[in-house]
Amino acid sequence: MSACSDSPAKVLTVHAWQVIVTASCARRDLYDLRTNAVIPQTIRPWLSSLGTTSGGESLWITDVPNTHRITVAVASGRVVVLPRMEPTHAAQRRSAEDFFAALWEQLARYAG
Amino acid sequence: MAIDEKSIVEAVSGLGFKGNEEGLIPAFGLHLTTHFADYYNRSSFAVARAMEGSGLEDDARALLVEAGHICAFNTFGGIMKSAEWDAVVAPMIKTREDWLHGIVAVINAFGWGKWHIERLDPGVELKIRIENSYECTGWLRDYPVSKFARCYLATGGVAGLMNLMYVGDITTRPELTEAYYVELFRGGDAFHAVETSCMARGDAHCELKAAKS
Amino acid sequence: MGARLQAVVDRIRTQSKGLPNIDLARLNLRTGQPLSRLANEIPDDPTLVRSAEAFADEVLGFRKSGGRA
Repeated sequence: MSACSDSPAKVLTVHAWQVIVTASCARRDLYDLRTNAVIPQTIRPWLSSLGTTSGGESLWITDVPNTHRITVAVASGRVVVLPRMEPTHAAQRRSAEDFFAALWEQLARYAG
Repeated sequence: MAIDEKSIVEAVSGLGFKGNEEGLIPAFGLHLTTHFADYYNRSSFAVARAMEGSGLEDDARALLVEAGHICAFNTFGGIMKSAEWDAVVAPMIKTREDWLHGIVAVINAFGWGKWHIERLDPGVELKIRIENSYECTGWLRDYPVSKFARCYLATGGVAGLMNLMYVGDITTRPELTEAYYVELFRGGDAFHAVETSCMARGDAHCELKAAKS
Repeated sequence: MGARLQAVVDRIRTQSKGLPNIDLARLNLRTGQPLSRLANEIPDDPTLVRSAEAFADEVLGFRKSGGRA
């Protein structure tokens, strides 16, 4: 279990999104995006292609081995990336940034 | 009450939580672990037993319960801020008190004993009954019936729930910083819990009551 | 008897950054003596005083503990 308090959040900008980055005393940050729009079911196959998936209609989880776990709350449009601890902070951030950039493209393609 | 515990337990169970290649379970915005309950039990009980008769038993108990406060703040607080919570529990929430019923359902999904809210007087008192608390189950297997209550972590957890809800306001998704912890748990307004019944003492189940002191 | 130990207890009680009772419980376990309750009855043994003062410095933020970074 998490046993220590998080530090105040910072922001990662990806296109027009402001992803909230909460630093932890554990060796990983948490990336939290609130799109405030329902995530379309049409992007689920793309998400599934990134790793191992679980969850039902309202909650999708994609685990990308050695990289991070992506959690999607479909109705609220919230997307959270929880990095693995092994990569450096810089590598964690790069992976999260790449993912959110790709998600932006996917949403633009299917929601537009 | 709008919370459907059965569907929460099913949803959480269906997520297939298991350790990744780092041995951790990244879920609910936290890193959880799977290990034997006895790993915690034997560590905490060894501390408590070593202190008994030394004049320091109350200090040991206070610190073991404090570990429960910190666990409640980070773990329960983290769960209630998570995307999983948004997807599975939040749609059922109709009242402020549903937040507490929701987190108890998640606790039960994780298998930390079978928790049940016996009484909730908002902002005043919370009484929780626990069947098969893992702390007591471990105690009774390894040691004789105790003179003292033994659910240290649960005691801190129950107080923690009230502090997150009614001293702070977890419904506004605050940052779980050390300063916020101090504000919630260390002010004169904080809730404290006592274990009024405990299986380790020979009672049929455990019962914990959190109130302001 | 125990004047220096009592001073450490008073310092933690009044300057604690959080719940003084928790910090005092930690002091008691760290030193192995119920200082928060009996400091003025326990002799000011130099080793015990040093240990209590070091803990007070640590818990009041004057010195980092050797714990997790």
